[in-house]
Amino acid sequence: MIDCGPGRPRSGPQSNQKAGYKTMTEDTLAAKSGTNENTSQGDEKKPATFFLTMDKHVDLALAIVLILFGIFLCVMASTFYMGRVDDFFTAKGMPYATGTFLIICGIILTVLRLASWSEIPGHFVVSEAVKEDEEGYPASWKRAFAIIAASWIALWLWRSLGYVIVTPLFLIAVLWFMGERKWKKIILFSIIFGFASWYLFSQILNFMIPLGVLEPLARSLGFLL
Amino acid sequence: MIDLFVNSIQQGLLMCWDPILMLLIFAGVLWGIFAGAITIGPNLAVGVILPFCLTLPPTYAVGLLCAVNVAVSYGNSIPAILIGVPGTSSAMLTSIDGYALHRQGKTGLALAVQYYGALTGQMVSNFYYLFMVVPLAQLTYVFLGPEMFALYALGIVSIVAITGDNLVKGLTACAFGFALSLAGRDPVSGVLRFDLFYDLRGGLEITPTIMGLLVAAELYRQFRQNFKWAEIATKFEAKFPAFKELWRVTPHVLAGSVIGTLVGAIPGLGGTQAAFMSYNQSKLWSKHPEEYGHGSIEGVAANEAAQNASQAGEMVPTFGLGIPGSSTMVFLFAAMLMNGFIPGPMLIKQAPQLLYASWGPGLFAPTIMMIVIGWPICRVLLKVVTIDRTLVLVGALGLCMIGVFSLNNNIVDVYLMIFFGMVGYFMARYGYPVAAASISLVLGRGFEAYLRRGLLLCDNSLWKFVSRPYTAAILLLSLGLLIYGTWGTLKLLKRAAITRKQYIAEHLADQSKKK
Repeated sequence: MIDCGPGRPRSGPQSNQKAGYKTMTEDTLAAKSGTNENTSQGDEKKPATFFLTMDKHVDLALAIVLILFGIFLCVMASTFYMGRVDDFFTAKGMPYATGTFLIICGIILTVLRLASWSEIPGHFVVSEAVKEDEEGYPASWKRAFAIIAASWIALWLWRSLGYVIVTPLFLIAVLWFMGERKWKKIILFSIIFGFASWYLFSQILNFMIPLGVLEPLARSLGFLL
Repeated sequence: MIDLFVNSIQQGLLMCWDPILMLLIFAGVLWGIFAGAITIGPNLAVGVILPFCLTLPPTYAVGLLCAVNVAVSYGNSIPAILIGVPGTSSAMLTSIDGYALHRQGKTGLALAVQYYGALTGQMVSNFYYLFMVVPLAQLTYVFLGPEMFALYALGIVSIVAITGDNLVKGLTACAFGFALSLAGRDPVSGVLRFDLFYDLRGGLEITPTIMGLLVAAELYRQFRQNFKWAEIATKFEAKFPAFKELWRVTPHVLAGSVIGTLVGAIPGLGGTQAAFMSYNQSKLWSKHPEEYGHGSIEGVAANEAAQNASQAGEMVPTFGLGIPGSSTMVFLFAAMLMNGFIPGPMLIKQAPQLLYASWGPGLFAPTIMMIVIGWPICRVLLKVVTIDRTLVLVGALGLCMIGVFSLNNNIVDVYLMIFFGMVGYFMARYGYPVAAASISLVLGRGFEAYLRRGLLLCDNSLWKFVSRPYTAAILLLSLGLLIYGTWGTLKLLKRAAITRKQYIAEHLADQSKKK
């Protein structure tokens, strides 16, 4: 059972490596360089804020995955049928160009990452994330992955068990992973959402939502023609 | 042409005196804002109205569908600002800058800039729409493959502005999105490419893929943490700011309005591309480019003006050329076909009342309504932060899943969304901008198709291809924007790199002191 307990408010540096949490206070150090002439254009001097939340191993792995993806594109492109049209690029042109570009970018990123490998000791380096986590609250990748896994399982069961059965169970699981422990709230929300969304999309908007094992019952009740 | 312009305004305004129609339009506006705010997207929001339109007179149906489309474009930025989740892909950049402003306690300013930018963009584009519809029909014979390729190239260049902290990763994300667009049938020879699965034979479905990259990925990223929104929004201010603060963004709003209308008028491009291009050009001439991505009101204003102006722009090819300007316009197209009208250059002559309905009740009246109720609705929607964050995020995920399923009644679409949600999660966490990947996915197919068909048209001669007057002009503009944008981005990145080095040095010094 994955322990993805409730978030904790900020209370100073914490170390939670064993629990799988990466606390923002442990890995987040804000650099306040007040006289930051190099980063501001006008008269305002804005402090720079950086976070050590990017795992360099994962970053390196992603760069290697990009190289492999680029190779995949080029290999697949070599199997395409050229066709009879006298085309300058042919069906292979863009895949080759894109694949080659990805290989080059992947190599550059790999080299850059390896070159700066020892710059900061430990697993984490300065983050380049598009959006950062909220400071002061534990961030758990396990929680996110558990919810992704639950999404896959829910989809897999949609056709056989039906939307009305699977969706409340899925929502219960997600709310549990998010640390919700008030059972009345969890069950009420999940069941109401499941039924309300099915009714809205199926009965009012006339979309075909899979009901799975409940299909015969729905037919007998007149919900399905 | 002036007569048509004046007559359209007169007739459109006359239609607005119909109380039943106005009641319908008001209901459509409320539904559109709500639908945008709960992130179900314009396709679903307009799609659910379509069955009801079958029972309405054609002018009512056209007005209602246009009104809902316009209102969704307004409403989609509200969750982008308040909870960081864009209602549609065109609000992606608002979710970055607007949410950053919200976290800085400037919620009122962010919402006011969004309100000002969106409604100014809509009002300006309303009149551009009428100016452009008829002349555009003439361009059908002028804008061929090479010209269309040049327009797509102009769209792709806007990616330079959103490459984030690492230019190589930004370009990689762009190439990744482009690679995704290659799946399916080759646009010239028709051969199958990357058909690893049966469902890939028609290419990757764009809507589920973008929903995955932009919305599902953001939801999974937010699931990493558990807190209440009220805890972080310590200083919650929803006061309308002084006009001088809005005056600062007015040039960006006006430029965004023009860009939005023009880009939205290009078939295949739409609000997302218009928003990105407007954001890019706004950053290029802003006095504070370092604020972009970290809470820039100019960025929010440019983005909002363009994405809202593009709604009127999308109607230009729909009515003028008979080409749906976006996937939402397909519903409008369908509504007209169901009523026995064939959209195209002849429609304006054969059924001008539909043009009047698209302008007066479809664009102008909703804009006026949103000027009146838009700000009070924002204040009402502020209460969303008092709602349990967990329930909102979980509900949003559930709605996304069933919404995507409803697009084609195909569970593979939902699998796609979840898969690209995972991909987008890693991309966002490790500095690969999902916005760049999304825009190149959307533009990629047209980019390749028009390039290759254009070359065939020019007997495979590159010189003949680029020396066509319109093509040359647009490509030169693209090149200029690319060079200027790259130079500006590199300048900013160089400054950020210096500061990062200082930070690392300080961090290492702290670590050695602790030891």
